[in-house]
Amino acid sequence: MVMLDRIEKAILAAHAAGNGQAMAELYAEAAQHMLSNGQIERGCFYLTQGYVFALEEGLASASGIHTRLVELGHEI
Amino acid sequence: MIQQALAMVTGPIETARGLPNEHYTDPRVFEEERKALLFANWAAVGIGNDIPQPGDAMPVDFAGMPLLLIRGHDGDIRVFQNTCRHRGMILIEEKCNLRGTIRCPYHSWCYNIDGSLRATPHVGGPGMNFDQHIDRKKLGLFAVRSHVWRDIIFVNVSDRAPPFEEYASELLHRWKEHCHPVYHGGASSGFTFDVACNWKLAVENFCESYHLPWIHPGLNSYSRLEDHYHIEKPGRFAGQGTRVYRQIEGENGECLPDFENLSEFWNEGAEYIALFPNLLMGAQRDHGFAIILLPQGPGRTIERNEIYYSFDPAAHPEYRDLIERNAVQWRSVLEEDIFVIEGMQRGRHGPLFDGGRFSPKMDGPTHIFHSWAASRIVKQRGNGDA
Repeated sequence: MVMLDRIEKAILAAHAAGNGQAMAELYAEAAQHMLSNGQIERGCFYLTQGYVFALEEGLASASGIHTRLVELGHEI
Repeated sequence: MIQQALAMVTGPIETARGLPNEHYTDPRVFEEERKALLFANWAAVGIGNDIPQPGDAMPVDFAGMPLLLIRGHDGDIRVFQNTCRHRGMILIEEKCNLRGTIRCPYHSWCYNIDGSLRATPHVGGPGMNFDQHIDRKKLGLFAVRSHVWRDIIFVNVSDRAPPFEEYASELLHRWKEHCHPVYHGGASSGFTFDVACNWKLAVENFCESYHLPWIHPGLNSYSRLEDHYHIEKPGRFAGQGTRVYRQIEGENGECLPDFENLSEFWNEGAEYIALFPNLLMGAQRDHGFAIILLPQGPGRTIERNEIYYSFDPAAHPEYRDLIERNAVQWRSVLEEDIFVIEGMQRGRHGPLFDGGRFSPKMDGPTHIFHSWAASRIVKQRGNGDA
C-alpha cells in the first residue's frame, strides 16, 4: 500500500508537469503492482492509462502493454 | 429584392453594381458564403512550410471550421477536421510535433497520424477498452480533401469540386513556366496581418491595378499604370500584370537567382493573380509569393503573406541580405493596402451604399470576382441550400 501511495503521488506530479513518458512508466508500474496482487480489474485500469500515454509519446512499450491488455481480454 | 441585387452584380460591367453591403457585414450572409464560396471550392488554408517535419501538426481555423494539418511519416500532408469523434472535443490547440498518436485531451481516445482510431480507453467500462457498439474502423478522424501546389495547402470541404488540377487548370497552364520547386524564404519571409475587413475586400484590392498610383506612389517612377494589364478568367481567377518588373539588387548589382527556363516575357514581366476564393499569388523571375486569406467572420481576416524562391535559402547564405530586403519591401507595399481594405469595410456599414459602380476600363478583374461570387451564391440559393 505504501508503494502504491508513492506511485500515485508520482503520477500526480507527472500529470502536473505534463510528463507523458513518466506517466506511461508510472501507470505501468502501478498496473504491475495490482496485477501481481491479483487485482485484475484495477490492474487493467492502470495498464490502460499507461498504454494511452505510451501511445501518445510514441514509446516502444506501447506494444507490450497492448499485448498484455489483449491477453487479459481488455483490448482488441 | 436580394436576388435582384445579385443579378445587378452579374450583369455587364458597364451597368453592374458591386456586391451589396450585407455580403461584407451580415453574419448570415457570411455563413452562406462560407458554404458557397469557401467550402465548395479549393481554398488555401496553410503552407507545407508550416509543418516541415514528419509528425508536425498545426491547427487552422478556416472560417470557423477547425482543421488539422499533419505531415505524415511518409512526408505526405493530410488534413482532418480537428474534432474528436467521441464528444467533439478539439484535439490539438497548438502547433506541435506528434511523437506518437493524437490523444484527445478529454477522454483520451487516440488517433494514428493517418487519422485512424487507435485506442478507446475505458470505453467498455474501467480498464475495458472496447465495446461491441464502438467500431474503431468507422470512427477515424474526418478527412478533408486536400491538395498541395507550390507549397500551398488547399482543401475542398464539400468534396464536390473537380480535381484541383482541373479546377486550376487555366492558371497552371498560364504559369507553367513557374512550375518548379519553391523554397520558403525563412522566418522574415512569412508575416501575418490581422485586418478589420471582410476577406473579399483583400481579393478585390489585389486584383486591380487602378489603385496603384494612389496607394503605392513609389511604383509610379518605374511601373506606370499604363504598364499594367488585366488578367481575366471568369469563373476562376483574376488579377493584373506588369511589363516592367524591376528586380531587387544588392550594392554591387547582384540579384537573386531566377527560376529556371523562363521565357523572355519574365525578364521584365510579373503577374499578380487571385485564384478564387482566397489565394492571392505573385510570380516574378526571381521569387514568388502567396497571400492566404483566412476569414474570421464578416469583418475580420487573417492575411498570411509568404515569400518563396528558386533555391534553398539555408544552403545559400550569400542571398540572405537580399531576401531580407525583399521581405521588407513587400511588407511595406502590402501594409500600404491595409487602410483601404479596412476603410472599404467601414464604408459598407453606410446603408446608402449600393454596391458601387465599376470602371469598365479599370475594374474588370474586380467585377469578375464579384460576378463569380454572386453567381455561386445564386446557384446555392437555387439549390435550396442557403
